[in-house]
Amino acid sequence: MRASRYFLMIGLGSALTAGAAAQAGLPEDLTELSLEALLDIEVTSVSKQAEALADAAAAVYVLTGDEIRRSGAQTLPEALRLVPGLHVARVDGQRWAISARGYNGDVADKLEVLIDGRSIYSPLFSGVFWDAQDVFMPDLERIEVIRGPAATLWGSNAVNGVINIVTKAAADTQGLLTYAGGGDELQSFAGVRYGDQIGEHGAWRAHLRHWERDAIRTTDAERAHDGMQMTHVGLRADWAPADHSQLTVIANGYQNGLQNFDPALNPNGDDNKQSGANLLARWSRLLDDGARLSLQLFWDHTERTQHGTFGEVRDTWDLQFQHARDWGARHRIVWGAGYRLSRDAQDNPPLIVFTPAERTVRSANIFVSDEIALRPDTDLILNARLEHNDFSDADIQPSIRLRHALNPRTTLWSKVSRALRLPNRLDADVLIPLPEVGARGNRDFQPEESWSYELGMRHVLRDNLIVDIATHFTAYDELRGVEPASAPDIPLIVNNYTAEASGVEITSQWQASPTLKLHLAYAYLNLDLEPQADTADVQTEAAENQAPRHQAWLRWDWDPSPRWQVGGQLRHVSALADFELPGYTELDLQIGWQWQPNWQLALTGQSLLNPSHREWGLASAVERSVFLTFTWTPGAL
Amino acid sequence: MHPTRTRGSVRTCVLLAALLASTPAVANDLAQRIKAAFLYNVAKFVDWPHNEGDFHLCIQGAPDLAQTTRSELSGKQVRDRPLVIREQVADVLDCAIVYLGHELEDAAIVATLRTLRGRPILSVGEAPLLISAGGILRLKQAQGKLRFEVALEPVEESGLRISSKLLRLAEIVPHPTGPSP
Repeated sequence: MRASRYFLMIGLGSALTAGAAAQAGLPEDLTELSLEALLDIEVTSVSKQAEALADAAAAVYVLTGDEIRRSGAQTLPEALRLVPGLHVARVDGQRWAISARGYNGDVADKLEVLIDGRSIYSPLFSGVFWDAQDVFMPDLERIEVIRGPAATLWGSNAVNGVINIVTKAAADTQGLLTYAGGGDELQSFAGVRYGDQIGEHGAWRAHLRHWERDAIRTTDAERAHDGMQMTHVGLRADWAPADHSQLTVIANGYQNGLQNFDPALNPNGDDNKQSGANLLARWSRLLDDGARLSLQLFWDHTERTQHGTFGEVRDTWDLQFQHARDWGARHRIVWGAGYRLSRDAQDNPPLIVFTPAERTVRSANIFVSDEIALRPDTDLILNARLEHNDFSDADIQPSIRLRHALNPRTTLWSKVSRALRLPNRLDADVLIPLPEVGARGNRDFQPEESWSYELGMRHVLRDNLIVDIATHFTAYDELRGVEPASAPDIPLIVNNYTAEASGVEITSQWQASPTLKLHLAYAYLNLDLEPQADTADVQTEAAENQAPRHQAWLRWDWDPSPRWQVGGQLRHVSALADFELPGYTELDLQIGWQWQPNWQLALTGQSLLNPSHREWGLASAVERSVFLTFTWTPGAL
Repeated sequence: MHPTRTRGSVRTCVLLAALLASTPAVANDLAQRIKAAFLYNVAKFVDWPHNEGDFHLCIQGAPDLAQTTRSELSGKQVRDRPLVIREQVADVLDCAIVYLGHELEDAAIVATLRTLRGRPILSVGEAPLLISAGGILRLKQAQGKLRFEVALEPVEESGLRISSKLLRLAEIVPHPTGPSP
């Protein structure tokens, strides 16, 4: 060994530490900082890596608020495009089809989605009405996506995954922030938020935002009547009195208007409208023995009108309780219970009828989770959830996860789980009264079931280059289909299909330099549907051609100079044979300029590579879009 | 990282191996460095009744933190006393600060805190049961930043005095009077 090796080692050593410090803009010697400054440093991105290194026991992806802002995403579905493994397809100017691991469609029903703990899926069809969802985007803290069954801790909708959307605590959104902008497709948008303290132990914030989108051009260059506008208002208060309790209260209200025209159902071209309000309260307390107790209650009121096809007023009440505690040196036990009541009144226009027109559906669940430290490098996590609703008997959803740190750089994990999609109003009560081509609900519809087997690995290749590989195989049973019938009979909704899905998801992140971070990801999915032996339904099988076989994402966050930021994403989705849709590749890009300490200007382009392209369905298309945003953050007034 | 005088390839290989093994720690590095700098600040803002000899900062059950603390704080002084960082000491009564890390079993933490009770030794850690077992200062994270809790009753018993500059940034927590776990 020669002196040159020494200097290589020393150089490498100091490069590592210098790199880490330089990234955060901190001095080499942290003891130079005051105590206040030390306590103000963001450890999240680093410790989440550290945490995730040890805790990668499922295919979890965390998208930070910062990454979302840099991408230029103005609405939630646009932010979800950044998550590898999700299939996010814009259906038209108003609707989105979002799912993980297949089973997409704008009635995708195998994904649970939460905003600050409030479930936003509709109990009507176990899916999300994305056109009625909105958040104040600059105040997003992170979006966590768990791909693969998470039913045990999150609910019986979480068959293919959970999306957890989290906004910042009120204490982190103090002062004034306001933005405004416009463009060709996203025609105008503006928002304002103000936050302040409540005494010594609390904080609050309130926001108001509005945006308007132009109609999309259809594939034959006609203007579709699918423009929309959304107004959203919200309030959040967090209060932490000194005795280890925390109370969070979140209230939201919204109203949107969706262009609509149909010569038969809506010849006047009256806008479809949705409006709603919701209130959530969450109380959490750290007990003397180190245990954490939480209680959460939310109320969600929604009104939906789709002229000629559908109308509903719904109130949902949900109460959840959770207790988490370490037991001895090796066990961490979380257990809880929940109860949900959802009451609706359907307008029942002639084409889609729910019987009865008004119904209250109740569901209750209890769950327990034990995280066992078998050895310092090996954890075993056992989960079980028991749930039932008015349409089904109580049934258990268990899962077992094992994770093992092979060495300080590599963690392996595996998981086996059973998940259910409980029956909903659509399965049981619907009637589309058309002989031969309609459908009628089935009171004996059984829960859809899946058994999923996953295996994954997280590996730190070099300093700041991390690779995650997740493989999965899922066997589905009792899937929903429709039993064909000849006139005058109406086909019956039945459990008549099985499916097998297998795939691989590879995600990597590389801090290439202190000013450039790259994310490269690839997902492969093979979905195969098969009818059960005793059914004549061959139509449902087409769903296997609605899941893209390949998807790829390349995303970058680049700071070419202290006042300029460039963020962007290249995304590719392979062909969807059922819609005769060829694969597409698209580019989104945002260039941000910190013009003054409190002023930022951003130029954003979405779907830049093609003037328009189709992502889902047979008719609509997504157009190239460019817009400009001004943001002013004077802070405290 | 100082160039060490070498006599042969064995020493070099050991250093190289140590460096490569510590490479993945860069992911933890910033969090550990902040903790190390914080411990140094804590030493500056606490009064010990006797101020002679070396100042011993003892780190039990946290080898990553010990390594980072050594590289961050080597050569520094606390109140004109040379700062010495020790790891896995047998006799904690020699220490001015004892850090009880994540590799220790709960029972070991409880036993050590029992030994330190009433003595002018600052007990620091992260375990959830630290305060209820009689510890003084507990590190944690909230909203992605380092935070800490301080229990005042054990401080009074110990003869230490904590400066208000440190206390006003702390979350003061009650020391439970019930039976410890």
